[in-house]
Amino acid sequence: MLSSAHASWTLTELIGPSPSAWDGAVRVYFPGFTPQDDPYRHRLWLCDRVHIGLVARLRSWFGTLAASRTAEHPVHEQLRVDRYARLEKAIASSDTAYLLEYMSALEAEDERQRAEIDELKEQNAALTREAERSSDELEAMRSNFAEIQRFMPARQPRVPAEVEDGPLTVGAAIDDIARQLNTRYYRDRVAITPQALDAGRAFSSHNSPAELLRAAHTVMEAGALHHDNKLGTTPMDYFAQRGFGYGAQPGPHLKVDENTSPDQCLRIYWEDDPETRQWTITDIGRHR
Amino acid sequence: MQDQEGVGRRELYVAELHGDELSSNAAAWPLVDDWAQRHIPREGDKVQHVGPAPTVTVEASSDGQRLLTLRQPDDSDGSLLWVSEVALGLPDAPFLAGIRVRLSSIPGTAVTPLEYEFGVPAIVRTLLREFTVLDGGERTEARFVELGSSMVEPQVAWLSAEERRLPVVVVTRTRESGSVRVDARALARDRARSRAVLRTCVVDAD
Repeated sequence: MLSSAHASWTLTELIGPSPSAWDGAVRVYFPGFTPQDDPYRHRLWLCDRVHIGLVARLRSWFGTLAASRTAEHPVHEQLRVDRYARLEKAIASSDTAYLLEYMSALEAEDERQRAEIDELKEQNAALTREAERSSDELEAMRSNFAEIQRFMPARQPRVPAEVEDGPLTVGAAIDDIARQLNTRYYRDRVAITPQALDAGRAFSSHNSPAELLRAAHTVMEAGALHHDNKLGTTPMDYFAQRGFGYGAQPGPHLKVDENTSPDQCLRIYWEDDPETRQWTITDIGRHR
Repeated sequence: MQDQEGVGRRELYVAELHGDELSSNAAAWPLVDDWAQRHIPREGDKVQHVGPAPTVTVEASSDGQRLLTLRQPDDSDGSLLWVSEVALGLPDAPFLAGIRVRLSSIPGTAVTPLEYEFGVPAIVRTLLREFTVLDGGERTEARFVELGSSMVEPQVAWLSAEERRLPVVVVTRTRESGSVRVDARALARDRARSRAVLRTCVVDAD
């Protein structure tokens, strides 16, 4: 969820939620960044992953990157060219003193390179050991996770923190939808009509306000992605992946409950403005 | 030509600094030379180090670029040799410095664990103070920058700037307490220690 902190909101509004950072997270943006990048390219540490050791980890990581990616200063190339020119002159004039000096320098450089290769070999061996250890740990963690998962209850619909206390009502769910659509993230992306809010509140007979809320969140998120041209699939597939049906006639709508009584048959209808790419939710209520 | 600089080099710091149009390598040279000469003991100075005396060598290329190399033994461990290299570009061109700091073992010394303390090189702090060093059009500094909401938009434009060369670390405040989970000051300082001068931004500084 987005943080309420103002600057994080601004950052998220400008670049979108995937590549953004908020709520105590730390993110590294590498050169060449664009908001359309794969977010994994710009490493993110969420709040619960940020710890004291992160500073040392970044230090080591950036150090390796800087050493490998910082280009040689042009003076080095020019000095090599100059030395080579002197060498040619020395050969032409049989200046053995310079030839010997040149050879000594080459031998010294050779020794340095060999020492560097040895150090890189040591580093490689240490990293290989570290990778093997991490791989073992990951395997053990996967195994533990699978074991724990077997004993966990089925996943419950996600409910926002604000409505976690006490039983969720349809009215509270509609209030939450209205509040979220009024945030800066959704304001220009997804709208809702007052009639839709009223209709949602009037549908108080629905027996699963949490599912109603999850359905509305799914439409809102899809609308925001559609607005940003990032849905990446058809609405039908998008909603099917989230356990909902989709209908396009008479207008686009989400099918929440298919096989139930009319007073539980929830639908969310919206309109799509092709010019602004904004979705406007026009009805939350019974199938019509 | 370069002389012997020790074996088992460990590169601790690498940075490339680009100055603005008003800067020049000729103007930077006295600062670099002065910094290096301060490490050479003068007659009558009390010698604090053990091992061989510090040396400064300067190589100039035929087009006027310069490479200064300062070699100095560690103050407390005579088996360790610090090699600091500062390269400067064409005299009249905008300031272009390459800085590398390496730690080597002096040949023939005993094998002992490598222990050292390393901060931002003084010459880097001096150059960043005296010149406007740019990355993607933004001034580079060895400290973190706090960003309020109004400053985020230009920073986003800079994040996407094609000419940006350095990574940017963005630290955000927690929603509940408004605190940061990592010490941004230490991060900026340690990043500067870690071979590159980078940029840390803290957002949510409203």
